[in-house]
Amino acid sequence: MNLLFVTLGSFIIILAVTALVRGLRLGEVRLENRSQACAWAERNIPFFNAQEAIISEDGQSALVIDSEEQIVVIKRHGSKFAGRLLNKPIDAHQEGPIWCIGSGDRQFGRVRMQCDVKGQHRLLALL
Amino acid sequence: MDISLPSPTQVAVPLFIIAILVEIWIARTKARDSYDPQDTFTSLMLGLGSTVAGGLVGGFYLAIAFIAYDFRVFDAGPQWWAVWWAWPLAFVLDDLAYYWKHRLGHRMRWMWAAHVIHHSSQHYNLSTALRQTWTGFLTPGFIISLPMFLLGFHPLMVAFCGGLNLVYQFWIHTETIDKMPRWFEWALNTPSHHRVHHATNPRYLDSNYAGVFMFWDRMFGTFTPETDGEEIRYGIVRQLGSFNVIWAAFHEWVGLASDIARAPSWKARANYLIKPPGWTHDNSRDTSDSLKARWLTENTHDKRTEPVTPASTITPAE
Ligand SMILES: [Zn+2]
Ligand SMILES: [Zn+2]
Repeated sequence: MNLLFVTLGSFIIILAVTALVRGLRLGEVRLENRSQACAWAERNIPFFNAQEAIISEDGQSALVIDSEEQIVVIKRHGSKFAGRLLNKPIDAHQEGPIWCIGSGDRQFGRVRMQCDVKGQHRLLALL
Repeated sequence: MDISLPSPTQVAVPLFIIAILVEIWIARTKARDSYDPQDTFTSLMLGLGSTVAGGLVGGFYLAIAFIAYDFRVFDAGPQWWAVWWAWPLAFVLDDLAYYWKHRLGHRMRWMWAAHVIHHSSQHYNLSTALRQTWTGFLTPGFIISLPMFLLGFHPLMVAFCGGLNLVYQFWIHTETIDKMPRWFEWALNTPSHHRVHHATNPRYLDSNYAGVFMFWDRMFGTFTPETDGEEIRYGIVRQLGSFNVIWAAFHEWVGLASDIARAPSWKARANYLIKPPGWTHDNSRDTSDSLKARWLTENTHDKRTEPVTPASTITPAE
């Protein structure tokens, strides 16, 4: 009973602290340009030499392609970014203006991208 | 007469919450990306889950400790707690045991499955400290503490010291403190040393396992200082990319089980348990050793990769 009470109390405190972080709008980040996406991939994917990137217009996700035609999908994860190297053929489908890219990892999830016309063309060429 | 000792971690919880609130308040103006609502929620939930798991299985491990204690070599008598010098000695020895437990926690996949939860965040703030294991009881880690009970340290004394050790480790999970005074950095674990421990940058992998005293790492060759000017990437080499609390707590157990299930031989199965994370029977993944080795060769032969010389140490040509 005591354990249940303490657990419930803790849960309420957890919700309050989370609400504070959200209320202060901490952790809101975005990829500003393609070179940021490339730099991220090079730093985070071992031995990846980024050549070009397609970034989502909301700055929340990107695809980066390297010199050996490897493709990494990046998504915002908290105030950081996380990525997955993709297997070919790329698992992608369109929902209206949004592209959904399968990461190949169920827990990582599908990554949503909204691209300009040029980005869309490049993406189609990758498929 | 016996003694009742408080649980240091439980007593410290209000302080943890206050410190987190203070850090959030500082982050608001100084480092708005150091906290994220989803990450904070997951960290705190993992802390809560760990407390619940500890409450459920802690008694069982205390019972094992008491069995070992029954075979003690030295006996301090019923008033064991009155032997004042045994307290600091127990604290230091428990810290040594912690060092080895923690080192195995990174170098043995079976132990890593339980410890990875602590490294599952890409963020590094005081709330990250609360990502504590849920499944430590499923590993052989407790064996490392058994010699202390056999020597004659009372299980409650060791548990108390272990609690203090964990409380100490809370404040070092922060980027708001740069460096402590030199003597402090030399002797004790600090935010700077522990940032290195949480880093995935190849140069930092498998470093700084200390709980409280830094000299264990210096003594056993695992100490790496923080290099000025190198941005740290926190977390694990293959980032989870998920805030799912249950997945953070159990993902490596799932990975370990599926590797064992698909292993071609009993030898490979055993190796999946005892070899470092990333080991595979067909060499298909990177280990921290292979990543480090590749990084070292690239950095000695190829100057295009990450800058290794901090700007502050470059001496201008005369
Ligand atoms: Zn660790
Ligand atoms: Zn830590």
